[in-house]
Amino acid sequence: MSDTLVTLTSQEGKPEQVPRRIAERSTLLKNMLEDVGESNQPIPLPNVSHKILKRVLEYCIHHKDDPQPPSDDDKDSFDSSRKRSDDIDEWDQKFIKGKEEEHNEELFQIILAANYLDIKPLLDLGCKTVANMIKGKSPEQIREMFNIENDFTPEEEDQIRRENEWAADA
Amino acid sequence: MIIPILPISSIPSTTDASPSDLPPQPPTRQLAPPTEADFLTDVSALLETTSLSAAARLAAASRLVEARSRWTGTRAQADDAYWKERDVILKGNGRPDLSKSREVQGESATSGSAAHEIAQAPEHNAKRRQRPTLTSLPPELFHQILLYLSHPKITLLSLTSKPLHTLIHTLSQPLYRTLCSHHFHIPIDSPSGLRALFIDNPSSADWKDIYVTRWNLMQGRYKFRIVGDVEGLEERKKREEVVETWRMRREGGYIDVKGRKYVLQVGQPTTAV
Repeated sequence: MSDTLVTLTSQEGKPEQVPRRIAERSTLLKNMLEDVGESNQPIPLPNVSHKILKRVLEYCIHHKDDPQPPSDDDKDSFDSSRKRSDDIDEWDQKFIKGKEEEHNEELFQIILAANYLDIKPLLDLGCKTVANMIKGKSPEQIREMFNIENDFTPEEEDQIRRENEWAADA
Repeated sequence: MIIPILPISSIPSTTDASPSDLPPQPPTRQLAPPTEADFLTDVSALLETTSLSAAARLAAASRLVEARSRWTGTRAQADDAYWKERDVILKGNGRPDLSKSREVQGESATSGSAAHEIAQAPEHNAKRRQRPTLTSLPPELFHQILLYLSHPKITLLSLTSKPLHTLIHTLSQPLYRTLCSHHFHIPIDSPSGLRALFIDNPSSADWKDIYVTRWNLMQGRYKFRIVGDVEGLEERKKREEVVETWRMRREGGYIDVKGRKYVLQVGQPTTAV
């Protein structure tokens, strides 16, 4: 059963074949495959480009033997510790970094795809990575990194700085 | 049965409503050439068709996808082809109600000029299409990212631009509610636990305010006057006190924080007056 191949069709209509147990890292696909049962019909993924699909599958293949993550309900109720973002393993770090020049764009696309396909560890990895990029940066550096335009007037900026004063010297 | 394809369309768009990489949302009334959303509706409708076997549903879905993949290039002709194919697939499946509800008759009549307009769109869009950015992420994903940040970073982020400031402001209640739980172990899901912290009405509580207060407490920016013990909490009575607070001002001195009383546990930095 787990050896059967599943065909996924990306946004561009390009098919991609993967073993079923790789595809099942995605909760969306897992539920879908359970619903339809045995079938070799391709599954359309109109929200995911081929390039991103390949990247996501690369992740799924590397993590194929990981235990399924616990569902939210089990975990969150007792997880009162702060969310950590410094516990990314080496392979993941390298994976999410991708090619330097298109890093940001691809990163956000991977986050969207992971959310859509419901691959929680990959979504977490993406979110942590963005959070880590924000840490230790000044507003100006953040703007530059994410291509954000500063549309505040100096007065408005000053106003917000005052609103945020309580947090400033932490 | 669960229709797993649905989450795509249920992702809310971002607040700044910029052209993003999400599928273009069609104007619901105007039913001209097929859009990504039409396609998705068709696919999910198809998957909902209980009268078909699973395999037949998938087969039909893949035909739809095939029809969809022909959109590129000569768009206007492919549009018509798509509608025809789609009608064959969906009507053939004994779902006339679906076609009716979507006014297929009207579509073919209006597909003239509108089809032409949209036919120009793909190439045009591809060039100036805004790349996914921090602000184009769905708010719930942005929220997840913020949960990995401490409040100084969050407030810093809100200084970068108006869209981000608005977004963070919009998310501030759920965000600081979670942060209250993560950082200060406030039992956000326990009404009785919250009552003990003088949060009587959790649904209307200002979680950011609660968070800021706690933070200031921790920083030693308050001093307190003991008002009395908490009644009825026998076990905790000895180590908890109800206090009134004064907040330290930047320029020195204290101001009375009106109407607030806190339960403090031993070990917190208190100064009895």
